[in-house]
Amino acid sequence: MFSLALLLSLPSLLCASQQDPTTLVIGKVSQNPKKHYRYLKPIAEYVAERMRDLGVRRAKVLMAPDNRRMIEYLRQGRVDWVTETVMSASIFAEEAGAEILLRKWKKGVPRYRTIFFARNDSGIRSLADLPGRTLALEDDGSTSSYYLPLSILIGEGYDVAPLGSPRAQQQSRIDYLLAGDEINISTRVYQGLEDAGAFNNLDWRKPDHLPELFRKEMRVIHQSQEYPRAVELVRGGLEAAVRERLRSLLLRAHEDPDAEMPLHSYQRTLRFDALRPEELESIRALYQTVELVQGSAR
Amino acid sequence: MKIRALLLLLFLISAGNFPTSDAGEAELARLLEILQANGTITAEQYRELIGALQSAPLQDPGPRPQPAPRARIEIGDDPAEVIVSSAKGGVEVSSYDGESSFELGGLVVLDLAHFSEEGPGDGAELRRARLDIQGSYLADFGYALEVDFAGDEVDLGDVYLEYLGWYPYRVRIGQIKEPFGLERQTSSRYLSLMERALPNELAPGRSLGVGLQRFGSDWTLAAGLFAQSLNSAADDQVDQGWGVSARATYTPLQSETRLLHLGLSGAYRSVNAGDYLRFESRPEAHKSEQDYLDTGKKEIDNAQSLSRLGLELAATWGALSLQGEYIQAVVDQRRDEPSLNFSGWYLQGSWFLTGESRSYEPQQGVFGRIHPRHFHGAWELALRVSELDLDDENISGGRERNYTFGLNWYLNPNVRLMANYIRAEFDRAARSNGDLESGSDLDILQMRVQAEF
Repeated sequence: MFSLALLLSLPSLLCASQQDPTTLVIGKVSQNPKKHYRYLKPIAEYVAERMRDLGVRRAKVLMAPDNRRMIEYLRQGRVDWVTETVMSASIFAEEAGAEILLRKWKKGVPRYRTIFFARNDSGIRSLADLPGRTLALEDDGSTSSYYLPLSILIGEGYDVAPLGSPRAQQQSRIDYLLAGDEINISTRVYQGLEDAGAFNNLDWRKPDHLPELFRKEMRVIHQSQEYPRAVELVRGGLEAAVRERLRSLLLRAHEDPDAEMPLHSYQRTLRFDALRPEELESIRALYQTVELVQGSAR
Repeated sequence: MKIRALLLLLFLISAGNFPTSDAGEAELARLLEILQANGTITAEQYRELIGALQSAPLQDPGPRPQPAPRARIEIGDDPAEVIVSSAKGGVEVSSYDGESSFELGGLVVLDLAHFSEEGPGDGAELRRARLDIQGSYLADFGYALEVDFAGDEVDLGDVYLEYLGWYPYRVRIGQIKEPFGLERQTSSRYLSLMERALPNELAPGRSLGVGLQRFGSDWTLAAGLFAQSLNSAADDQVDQGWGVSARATYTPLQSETRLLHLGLSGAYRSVNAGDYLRFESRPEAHKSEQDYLDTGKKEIDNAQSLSRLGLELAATWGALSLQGEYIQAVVDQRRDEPSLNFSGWYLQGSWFLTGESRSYEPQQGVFGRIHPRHFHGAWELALRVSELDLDDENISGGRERNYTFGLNWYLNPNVRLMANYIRAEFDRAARSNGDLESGSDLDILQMRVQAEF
């Protein structure tokens, strides 16, 4: 009988849930927890205050250093609500059972696309001109300047490899370099250190990311389809009443004067809205590209 | 009974209700081995349960971690885990729930100056050698401690505790900048010229007190109640007694490359009977050993109160920026003596040759750090005209007008080189204060190396 009790209780002990129904936990993958704490806490408190009838008493913030850790937190119930871009959202949905709840108009923008660009005098006019050339990207955590451009190239049948890889020696391949940030991408392409670059259409318009002087010398050679700028997800096991209240509060937040400053703090979010089924499907489909892209990096 | 319980376990496993982590699966498998060994389950049951457990596939670990900052250590595996980074040059430690952090940084500033007259004193000086500590704890409390070791004495800058739990309000108590003026509120690290303009002598500096700040999407409001400064020297007799200060800013236009900033400040100080007020100013060159403008050590000996007013205007348009302020100080005196009016203004323009825009911090209503866009850094030209008039009634503090030309090279966000040329013109009183010959003015060439970590 003791063995049986142990048998039945051990799984509960082994996968000890961190769920505390009185605390709403918002999370983000972050390398700067102090900064993002100030972004997330106001909106989390705004929502928690309006969930008291559901037993929620307070809000907490929990950052994860990487996607792997956030997946663990979602599975364990340590995080209830996550804000992310679409690539990480597709990973969390697939691997942690998270539900994509709403689109976030981050910095006032509902959607964006990846664009590839090159110097006007490079002779590069389309993706077909890239084999044998080099491509500047941001870093391997970026949706619009890593995953999306590589998935597009792989989807078109091109072979890609990191610059310096032993595989990156053939004329048919496209070698890519991780430049670190957008201004480095545009500077390297402008100076001819790399043949082309890729980031999103919002970066294309930002002088700090692509100075006017550089833009005059560049052309866009390819654009992706549009994707939501950012999304809100909840963990799979979140109570239905809490999930639906969260959805309702966020959908109406832009009409509530009390939400003005929390939204402003929340990466200058303009509003939230629902995703169409085809948009949800396009996000989920991104997961298929994850292994392809990661395979290219080996 | 045993069979039903085991079937329930089998059902739960097969229904995927157990997260299939490596550690959990190994423990369950070991348990099943023990149960079979002591006869609780048969070999056939063992095989069934093991098969069900192992049929739940392990999840992929997910994509590779994001790139680490320059220095990073992870300790532990719970929300108390901390991240240590040196991304900004100093050291920052932060817990992963964001509720606690500690940051150590500093600033070193070295100046060289040459004056066209012998009086002020050519040479070099360590203008600033500062250690900054700041952090947060218990989620909503913050603290800061700035200590400057340059010069003959150790000076304290910001020394405060703050409460951030009433977002978007912030309360600070300790030694803080009295809320007044754009250039006074902007950190010296981010000024376009080496020293603040002349009229800032009339603005209050740092004092002990309590301050409240609030910001909106395009405005800020700050106010406070203050006593004297922790660094009060015997002859620093302006910000004494008790006082109140307030500042409001509004930015009807604000984007990454466009800005229109308006500001209004006011301050009131009650002056104790028997205290002296003294305004004195170097010619926008700290190396100068002469205060050409000086109302005198004991000349203003009858002050009852000091009221100050500040007007601010700033605009940026891409690489160009314009900034100006007007500050007035009125000393009300006892025994029906007339009030003393002192005032000053400046107008400054700057142009980033490399295309950057001056950075603005909307929650503070001040300018911030420059991030060069290019590998070779950012280059900025700056021009300023400034004036301060300390002559009124029986007080001959002097009047000075400066023309300043500046060139800055921002090697990166933390290091910059600066060069300023100043043409300082004085009235007779100012020349007398500085022992300048009649009709002569002053030319100043100064250079600076500034490194922040």
